[in-house]
Amino acid sequence: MTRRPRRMHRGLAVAFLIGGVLSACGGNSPSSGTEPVTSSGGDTTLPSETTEAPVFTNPPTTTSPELVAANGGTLTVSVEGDSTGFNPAADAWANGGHNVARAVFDTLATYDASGKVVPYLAESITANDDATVWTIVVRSGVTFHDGTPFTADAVRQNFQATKDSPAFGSQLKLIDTMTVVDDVTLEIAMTQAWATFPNVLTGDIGSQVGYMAAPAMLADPEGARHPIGTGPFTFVEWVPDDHLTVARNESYWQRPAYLDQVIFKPIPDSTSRKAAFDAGDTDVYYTGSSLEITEYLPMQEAGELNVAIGAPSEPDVVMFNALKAPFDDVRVRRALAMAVDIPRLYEYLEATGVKQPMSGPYADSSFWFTPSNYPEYDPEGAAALISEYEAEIGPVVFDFNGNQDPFITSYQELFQSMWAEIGAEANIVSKAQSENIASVISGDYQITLWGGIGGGDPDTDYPDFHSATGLNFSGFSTPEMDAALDAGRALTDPDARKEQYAIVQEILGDNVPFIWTGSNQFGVMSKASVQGVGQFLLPDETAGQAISGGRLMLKDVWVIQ
Amino acid sequence: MRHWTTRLVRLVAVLLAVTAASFSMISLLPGDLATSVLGANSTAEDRQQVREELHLDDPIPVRYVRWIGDAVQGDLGISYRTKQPVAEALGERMGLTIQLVLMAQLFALLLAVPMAVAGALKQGSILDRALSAVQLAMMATPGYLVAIALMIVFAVKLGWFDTTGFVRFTDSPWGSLRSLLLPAIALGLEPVAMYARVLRTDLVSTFDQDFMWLARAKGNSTRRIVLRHALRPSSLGVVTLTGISLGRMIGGTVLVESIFALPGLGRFTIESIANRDFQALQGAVVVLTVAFVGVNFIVDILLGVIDPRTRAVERAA
Repeated sequence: MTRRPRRMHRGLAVAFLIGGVLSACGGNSPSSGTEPVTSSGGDTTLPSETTEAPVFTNPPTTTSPELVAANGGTLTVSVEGDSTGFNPAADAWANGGHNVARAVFDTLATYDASGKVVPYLAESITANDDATVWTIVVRSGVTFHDGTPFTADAVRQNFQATKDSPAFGSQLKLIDTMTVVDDVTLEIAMTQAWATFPNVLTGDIGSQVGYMAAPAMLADPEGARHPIGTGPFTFVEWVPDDHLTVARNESYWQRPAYLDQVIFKPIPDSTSRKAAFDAGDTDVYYTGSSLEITEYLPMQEAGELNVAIGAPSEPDVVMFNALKAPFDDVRVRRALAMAVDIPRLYEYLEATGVKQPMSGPYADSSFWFTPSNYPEYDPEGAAALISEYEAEIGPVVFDFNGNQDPFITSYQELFQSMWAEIGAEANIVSKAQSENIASVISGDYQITLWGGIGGGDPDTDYPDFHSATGLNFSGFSTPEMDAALDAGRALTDPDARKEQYAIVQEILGDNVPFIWTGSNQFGVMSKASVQGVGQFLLPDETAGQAISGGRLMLKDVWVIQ
Repeated sequence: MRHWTTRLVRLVAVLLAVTAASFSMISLLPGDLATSVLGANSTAEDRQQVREELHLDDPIPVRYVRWIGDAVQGDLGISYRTKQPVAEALGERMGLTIQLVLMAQLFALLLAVPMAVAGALKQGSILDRALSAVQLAMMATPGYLVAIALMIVFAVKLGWFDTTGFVRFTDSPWGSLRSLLLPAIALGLEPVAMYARVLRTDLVSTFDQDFMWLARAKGNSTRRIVLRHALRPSSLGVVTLTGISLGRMIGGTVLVESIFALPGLGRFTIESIANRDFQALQGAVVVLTVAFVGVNFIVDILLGVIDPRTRAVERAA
């Protein structure tokens, strides 16, 4: 009984640290940390988006060979809060809104299991050589829930609604003209090259453009209260702040979903949301707290419930100010990274088995990952580097910034002790979070806990790594890295882009402006009777990405009756 | 008749004053309604258009008069958050909150009255002191903790209740009472101490009255003396408190409804604040004000019924 509050406290503290940093930083696009992306789109030439592929380190265990998916059942999913409505062109959604949207709407593109953007409701999404003209070919024979056909003109109307939207118009500001070539073909001319256009069609945080709503719904002033899409579930009813119910779409263009109904229940209080799942009042509970996920893992092993881990998102980092001594010397940066014992950190965070170690901005499972010379754990080697520096220049003494949360301070103390072992002396500085962020922005710091870097499409890290953005807070850059970032931004071919970002990772690995302390992941817990959370089949029956942040695909979920 | 007319006029005056004050305060809150409606990425032109549509650039008094004109006709505007007419949204949520507050008050009184009687009958005893300590603990325990503890113990561990959710009384009276029992206890625990202590003091005072000695001399049982003779004259204070504590209780619904995920007025209010849904917030404030003033109006009437002397005093005044 005495253990519980401590665990909860830690969860809150970590969330506070990361959340605060992300919200204040603003260097990345809102989606950069949470979406995984992908690789090849078959015969299409989708420029791939992003991040890392999902790592299902804890796949559901209850599915046994004799269990066969069957129709039926109602799934109750708790979400963090209600939405202002369900018009993709007008209502900005958090996880809860996206979960409803993913049930009712389909997106033009999605992520495959390796994290690459692939066409989904679109048959293909292709660009001309310089990515100034894009052609979207939609699937034939798909209808909206109101019976109207899904056509190229419907896509045009959705894009137009977004362009006309005061809230989201800026997302499509590069679209110049849209031409409906025929029923299934839409040609889009951009005002300038837009190599990463398909990324915004995946329906994720900050990119709702991909969700296709029925034109009748878009035209209806009340449409946001009665969403109509092509998705696996049709809208039934919405009682704001209480529940939203959807039912299986029997006329779905893929195999219809298994579940009869899904009820989304907004429970704003996080403790209550967890309690509702623990009490069996909800069937599915998702959280970004590695502490909570770790708590459920033994129950999964005992067959009491299922745990599915989603794709890694933005990693936590320790950031050096490469413009200030002693961190203007790569030997010191490298030494401090070599002294950090990651398993010890995870043990302290109670995140063993959930957080994944990283050696750069992208997880090992990511399409974008390429190996680098980022240092391994080697305290003896680190001590030698520190001695070398001390002999030449002087003692390694520095201020290590964090916020004023006691848990964060004790987390810093762990680093402090590891660095002390190699002869480096860290003075812990606890500042109000806003004050620390201000220090970082003004460059008035030496080393700090940080977040919001890496994890997304490499292009979203452009501001963090390029010398000319004003948001490169580590102060580290090289002309070669700038050139690779510029080149990667201008390319559409995923493999060609990857070559450029390999250069970036190599330079980061050699120069260590960050200590990568591991990925953050969402865990989705479901009752033992619930099967298939963490599974999402693409139209060609290959695996897609079922969990992206707190956003779930539910069409392949079923319940043991 | 004149007595009631005066009170009604006062009631209307209070409503006007409170709505004007709340309208002004909400209008002065930081944050731009047009930005809330359209999002941070909207253009200045679009935001200006919304401001014109909602008359946000007019002086506050002009806007208030326009708003009150619409409000008396039942039009409280549209909630930008839920896209519903505010009056409709409030109507849907009112039943839950009224039921919750009634159950909480009932729970508080059911606990406070026996405690007060026991304390008054055994003044200075160990029981009296123990009850006093328990009451203090109840008063000092934050409602948030009580709510979470009740949920963990009775819903998660024992499984006797649902953690969240509301069943309408018309759908299932028993289910409805059950769905709000834990929230009502969480909400009703705090005023128990206040009610019990005031009632105990009043009872002790009543027990010293001459008519009580007469009742005892007649050989009435303690139970009869308390129920028939002492409680009524001693209840003026606690009845008054019940009305006054409604304000605190309404404030408490914000927390309790959020924890138990109940779609009531309290949660509607807090969500409206969080989303800068000013129209909805103003509507909620009006309803809550009417409820508070209305209940205290009823309490005044009750006081007159319980003790006719209060009416006589007011008439004389």
